[in-house]
Amino acid sequence: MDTAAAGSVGGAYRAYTRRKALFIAGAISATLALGVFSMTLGSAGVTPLEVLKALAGQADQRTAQIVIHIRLVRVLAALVAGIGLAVAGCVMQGVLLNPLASDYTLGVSQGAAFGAALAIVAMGAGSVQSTGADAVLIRNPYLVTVAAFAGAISATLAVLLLARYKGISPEAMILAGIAFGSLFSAGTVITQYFANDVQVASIVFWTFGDVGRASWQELAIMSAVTLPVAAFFVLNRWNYNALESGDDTAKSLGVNVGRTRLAGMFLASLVTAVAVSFLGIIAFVGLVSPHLARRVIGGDHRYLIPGACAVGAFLLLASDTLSRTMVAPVVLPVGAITSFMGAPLFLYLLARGYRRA
Amino acid sequence: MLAVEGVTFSYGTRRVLESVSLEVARGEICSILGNNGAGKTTLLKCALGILRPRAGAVLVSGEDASRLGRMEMARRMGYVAQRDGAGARLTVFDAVLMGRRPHIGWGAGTGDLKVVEEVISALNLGDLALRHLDELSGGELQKVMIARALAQEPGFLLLDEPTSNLDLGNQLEVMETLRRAVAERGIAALMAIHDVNLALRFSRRFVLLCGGSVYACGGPEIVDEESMEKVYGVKVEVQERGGTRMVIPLGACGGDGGRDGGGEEIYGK
Repeated sequence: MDTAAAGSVGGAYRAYTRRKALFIAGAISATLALGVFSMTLGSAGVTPLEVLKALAGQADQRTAQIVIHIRLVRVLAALVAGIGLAVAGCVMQGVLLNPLASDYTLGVSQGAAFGAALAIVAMGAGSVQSTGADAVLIRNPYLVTVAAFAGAISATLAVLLLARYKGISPEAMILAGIAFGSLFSAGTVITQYFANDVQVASIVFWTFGDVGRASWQELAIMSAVTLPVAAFFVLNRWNYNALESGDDTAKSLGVNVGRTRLAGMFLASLVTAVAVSFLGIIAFVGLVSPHLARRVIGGDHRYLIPGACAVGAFLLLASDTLSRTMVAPVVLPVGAITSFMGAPLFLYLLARGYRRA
Repeated sequence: MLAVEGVTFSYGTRRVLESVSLEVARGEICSILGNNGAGKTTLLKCALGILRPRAGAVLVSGEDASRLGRMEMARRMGYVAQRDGAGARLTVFDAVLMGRRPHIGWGAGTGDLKVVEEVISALNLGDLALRHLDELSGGELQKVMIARALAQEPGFLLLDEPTSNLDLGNQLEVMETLRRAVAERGIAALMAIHDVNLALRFSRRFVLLCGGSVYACGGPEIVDEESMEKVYGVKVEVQERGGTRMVIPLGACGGDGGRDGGGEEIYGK
């Protein structure tokens, strides 16, 4: 009887994990389908079949030009940034044991905004040129990107140094992140105060995230950082699970708690910093995607990490698709759309409570 | 055999353990008794290798614990912490599976799932296997944590207040589960516990901690009026009932009673 009972428990568990795998597979398929659909949209009409042909290198030159060089890079940038923001949020929430942890609560986004503002005002990286679609052009995008990256990563480094040398707790790390975030926001405001209206416009324009800013080169850099870090997180999935039972239990399971936490925080911030410094600030994806995935498939990081990645990629791609079709030919800032879509969805899920996977 | 030899530990300048020695053999439960702040949890963490003692050594089957790696220690020792995180959105099966972590390379294999199934059925948790931790009662949760530690297949089990926050029925059930597991698997268990009578009922060896050092160490006979007054600062009456000792608290002593000013007391005021 014992073995029969054990067998049914194992069988039920396998069925349970299969359902989670199915959800992830479904989310990935939906994201890919949305990617193809998204590439059909735009002023030049392209059918889904033509998109697939172009991807396979079978389309005529004009279609290939539009699909591959204009739309594909945008879609891929949305996918990579979505994966990066979501996986970073997922790991931050996991290692800090705090559902509020995200690039916002840890000062990463505010740091990026301050860095960009400083570059635009103090280093003269911003200017205005009227070129039709975009009213504001940033004259030296790389200077802004580098400054934004420096700002984004410095908040995290400060928090990590406090954790490493003063041994502050995960809760204190969140509070320190919020403090650094406020500090950077204040810095941005002061910088704007000393800026002329053209520069202020550039700053505001920069802070609206836009996946269309990525070219192939930027996409390559983002991918080169995001994908290996995501793989590292997947390798550490058991450690993140163990951390959720408390530090002492995790240590008793052989986890190097301090190193897992610091490495997770650093790499998560790195991925976020790269995404926001290239694309501008994209709110909510990092916070919401892990929660959405957790609501459906639970907190086991073996499934949660790929699940959150799929949800994040889908969410950002869907937001971007909306942002460039809603009031076409005007492209709305995707950062505003992510909040607009994410917040009500999130509130709905909170109100509905957990669903049994 | 788990042996703690002359372990001394301080948090900063505050000395918490002073040359503590004890031994636990396979198949037996050893209870650590002492008031709040006496160093019970610190002693467990030193034995586990989470805290590094200033002096002394912990010997795991004769090997120096400080020379064994993190993972090797995790394969030999299971730990049930006092406050375990139940916040994670995990099922019981996943929580128990976590105990396999020190044994797992890339992913959980069929062998790992078998061990988890076996432990779950041994602890009668089968009906709860796919429930989430945050849907469990305190007693169920405690059994899950013990199950996780057993899934580690450890030779030694360290438990910090496994019955705190449990009602009477659950206290007995958890302790019964523990006793059976220790006997059947030949595990050596070291347990910090507040309830003296529960300790007397389920364990055969006792270590009385007082102000960070061992006041007495031995069988049930060391739990008497004198030692209870010294360790807890409480006047008690000791009775035998059905071959088991029972301690009936009469009242707190007026004097300093040897307490080291920990937190609140457990028995009356």
